[in-house]
Amino acid sequence: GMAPLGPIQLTKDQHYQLSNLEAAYHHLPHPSDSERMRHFLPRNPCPTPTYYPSATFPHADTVELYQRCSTETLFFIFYYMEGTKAQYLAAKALKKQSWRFHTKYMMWFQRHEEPKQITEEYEQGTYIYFDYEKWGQKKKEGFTFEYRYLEDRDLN
Amino acid sequence: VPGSVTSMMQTGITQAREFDDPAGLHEKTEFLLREWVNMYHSPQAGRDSFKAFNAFVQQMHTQGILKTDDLITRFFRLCTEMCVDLCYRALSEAGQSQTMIRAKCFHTLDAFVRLIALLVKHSGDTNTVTKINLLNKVLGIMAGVLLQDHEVRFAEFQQLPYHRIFIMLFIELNAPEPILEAINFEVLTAFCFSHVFHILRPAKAPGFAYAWLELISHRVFIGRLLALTPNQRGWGFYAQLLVDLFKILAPFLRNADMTKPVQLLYKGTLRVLLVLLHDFPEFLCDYHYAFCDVIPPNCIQMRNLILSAFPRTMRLPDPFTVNLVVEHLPDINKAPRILTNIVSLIQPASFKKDLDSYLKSRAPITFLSELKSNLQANPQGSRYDIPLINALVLYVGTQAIPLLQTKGVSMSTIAPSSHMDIFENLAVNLDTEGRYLFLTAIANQLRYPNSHTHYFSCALLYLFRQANDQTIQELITRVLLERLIVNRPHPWGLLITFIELIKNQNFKFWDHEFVRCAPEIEKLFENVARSCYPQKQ
Repeated sequence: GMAPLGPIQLTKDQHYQLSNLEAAYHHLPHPSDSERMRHFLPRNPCPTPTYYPSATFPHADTVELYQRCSTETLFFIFYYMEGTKAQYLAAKALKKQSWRFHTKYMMWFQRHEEPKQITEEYEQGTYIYFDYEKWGQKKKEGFTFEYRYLEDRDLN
Repeated sequence: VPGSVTSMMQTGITQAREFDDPAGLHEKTEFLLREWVNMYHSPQAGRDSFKAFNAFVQQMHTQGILKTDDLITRFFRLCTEMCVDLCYRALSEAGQSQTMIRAKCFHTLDAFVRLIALLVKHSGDTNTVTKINLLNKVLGIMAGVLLQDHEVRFAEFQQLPYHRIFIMLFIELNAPEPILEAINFEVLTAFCFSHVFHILRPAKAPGFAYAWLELISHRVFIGRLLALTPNQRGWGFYAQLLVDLFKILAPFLRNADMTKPVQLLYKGTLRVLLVLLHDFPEFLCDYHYAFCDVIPPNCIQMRNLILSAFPRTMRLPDPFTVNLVVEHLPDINKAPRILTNIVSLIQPASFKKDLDSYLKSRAPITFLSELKSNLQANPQGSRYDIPLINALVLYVGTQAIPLLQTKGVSMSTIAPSSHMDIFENLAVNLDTEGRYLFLTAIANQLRYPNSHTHYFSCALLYLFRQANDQTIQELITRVLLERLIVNRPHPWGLLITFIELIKNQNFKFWDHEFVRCAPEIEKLFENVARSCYPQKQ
């Protein structure tokens, strides 16, 4: 038959192993079991047609690619994919586009014009920011950006 | 030795089976665990839950949990059981989505993992021994609870809680922090070698096999063991775990009895091997012997994956090059590293002694006539002792090579010698099964350019040329061909040997009957031959 050396009689232990494997096969590990919890975008595997892409395209995890994404996309990644490499890359791309993160308001700000006033502790002027609750960009005039709330870690 | 890591883990495992808890401990633990889960998830927990942890340790003191080692151990056991119970309840709830069930389980499991990680990190201040002892004890308790659960629930056993705890704890304890880096090697030891993952190997806890495979093939785990630990100190641990994996598959693969669950485990194993072949070929090179010893002879592709590995700094000459002179290759005289003690595998000691004296003096002739029965001795499943045949073949070869240093290894220099006497005797006197195993043991050494590949390539061709019996030649052809008709990769030395066999007129390969025994076989040979002379097409 198929066994070139002839079949061996399975031992009692091996029968036990086989039946346990069969039982375990009915509740296999899920991909999410070995990764950090995703609060907003949990993994949800389902059968997809073969004519759709089944994997991300190559080089999808480079900062160059993230720089080509819209700011909206970057904000989405930043707020909905916490603690992932994607969040890190999104933050990096936002910084490259002169967005600055405010650690008290937990929002991203961008100068709308040169600040009216710049001191050692703060700058003041008109800013665009991204409101994650209303989910859109807003303008704020006469806003004081205190530097102690500026997230300025080097993302390299 | 009191306090040694293994004894800590063993105590943990034993203590997982003690149920005479002091009155009220169960309630206290339940209260504390619930408190901790809430604190862990509260926004005030602080970075890495550190603020919450300080407050929580106070509560543990107040509740008297930290008074004795025994109470701490019981606390961990009870917490583990509670986490596990919670998962079983969640998984049995009808009408819930997978995502909701998972989220519920992870909510508690992740909090518990963080608590363990923090306790390990901050126990005993700068005393690393205290930290490692605690970790080993906790892992031992988990393993004990798992084994008990596995035994009691049998088919209802769930891998999820244990899988999650082990992988998350491993990741937490491998974070880039100075305290953790100081104990990193001990952490790796606790998790793998002769410790928790080895204790929970598929043969012992088959219901945990899939999670176990995920654990040992997790990118962080492989990365830590094979790439980040200096001086390859993690390699031996990892090799042991792979041997554990091959061992559970062996009887089912050998019988070609592949139920769906076995197929899945096999597919996962091939994937791990592919990753290793791509990223850590030197690892597969160094341990190829130990792996091939436990992989059944009929698993051609699995073995090819291992035997095709070669050091990344090496450039292999194209085996199809016309007039390739193997003897002139720069690496052909270098011996490969074999990290298995072959000598110790040649048992019994009296046989080893007789073997050595025969190799030295080419006498007595009775050694050869008794050889067959010495290899037949033992075990179940085969009439031959396969590991002994493997060890004998490699040992005899490695003994022969240094003696040929001045003359150079070639078909004209390897015989006559006591070494080739042994090989010729095996080729002639064994029956078909024995010959097949013997030739397989030789073919396992046909790898990248090195002295073993060269020697055994010459030996195999020599046996082919000297054979006065077509069945031996047919069997040699079979062993080579069956390794080449499977999908790639194919070991370099194997290709070299086969090409030499069919190209070199001295072997009169095409004159043999077995080449023309059936139209489909004839066609097969023509196809292989065509791919061996690509330049002519």
